[in-house]
Amino acid sequence: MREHEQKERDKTREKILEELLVYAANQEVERSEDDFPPDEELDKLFLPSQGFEKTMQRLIRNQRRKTMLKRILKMTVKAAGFLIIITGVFLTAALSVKATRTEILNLITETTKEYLNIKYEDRTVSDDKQDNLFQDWEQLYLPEYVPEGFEIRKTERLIRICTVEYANREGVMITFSYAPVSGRTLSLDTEEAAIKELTILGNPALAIEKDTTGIPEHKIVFNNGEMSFYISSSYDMEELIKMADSVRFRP
Amino acid sequence: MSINDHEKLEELYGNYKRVMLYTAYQILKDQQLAEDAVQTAFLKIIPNLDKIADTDCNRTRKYLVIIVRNVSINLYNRLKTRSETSPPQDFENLAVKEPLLEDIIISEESLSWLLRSISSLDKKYADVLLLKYAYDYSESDIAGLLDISSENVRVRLHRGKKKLWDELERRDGYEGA
Repeated sequence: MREHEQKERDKTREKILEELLVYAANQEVERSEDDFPPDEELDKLFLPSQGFEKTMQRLIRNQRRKTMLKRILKMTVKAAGFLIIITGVFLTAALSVKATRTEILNLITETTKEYLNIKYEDRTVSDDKQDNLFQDWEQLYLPEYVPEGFEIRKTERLIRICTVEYANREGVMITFSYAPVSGRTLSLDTEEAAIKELTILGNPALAIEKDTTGIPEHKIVFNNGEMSFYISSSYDMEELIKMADSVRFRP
Repeated sequence: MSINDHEKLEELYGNYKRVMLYTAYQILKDQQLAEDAVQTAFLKIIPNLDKIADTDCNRTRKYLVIIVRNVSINLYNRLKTRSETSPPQDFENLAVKEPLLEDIIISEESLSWLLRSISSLDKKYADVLLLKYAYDYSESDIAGLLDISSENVRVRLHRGKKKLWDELERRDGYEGA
């Protein structure tokens, strides 16, 4: 009986402590902050870069699209089927050990009317393996084939994403980027775009072509089981595919 | 709903981009990285827009600062070194020694102390406590928002509470058991 009373007492105590914390935490977040300089001063300190403003405006625009889409979906009875198409792309042939891992590496695409999210999921690679992958990051992947006249203009590495920009004399750019597949999600604008499935480096890949502004936009998304690659340019798609298929590891 | 998600997002960005950039910059000391952190923070906030009722209040401002601060710290840690392993999440101190019920109820002074001490608590613990107790997030939601494991969230909650109770005990000389 005493034990029971003690338990009840402990429970009540815990509940009260939790309630106290709820009260204290709510008071704390309502409290006005004076840890920051006033906005006018911050404006002088930080002028966000144009690129950042552009990115954020795009983010807001995407949200607007999503909001509109939500509204449409609410009004459409059979809308659920329209929103998400999940495509698992598998290899079926007899596979080596490496290929077996690749087999389970699915290229998952979520397609909406206006954009495409591509997410890689590898159910076989453990976290440890991913860590190892990450340590290998210093080594480089590059296409062996680059269309004539193109040269590396800029390279950039930000956290997990490595980007190489090529340009020719006419100023046409080709962007090649890659990152470990783990957790990488690419969001691509696919409104009014033609999407083609193909095989690059022996793995499922997507080629996306869009031409709504008069300047063609060509994008290729592919992977080799460990890295996900992305090529983007207005240049000839066949050349870009050739380039993609020539990506090799350069120790 | 009186305001659309995108309008809400636009207002949040307009109202708090400076404070968020400032918070990120204080940690990362690099404008480009600070901008990346703010962008990442917004990507985390977008799925939680329905939790934001008012776009112009201290509560919302603090919420955004918590998110961007944690994104920035994570980014900083990732950039700093790859080889460091994360600190072991030991559970040895998880048994929080709490003050007795009667001790807590009696002291109004203790309550005001508690209010003050949350704000002076190490941000690592304060952020998790605030997300749970003020913003009503579950442990797994907090884990997602802060890019840490649920276990880590539990450890921080326990340690945060323990620090509060220990300090309370030290300050007022309560007999905790």
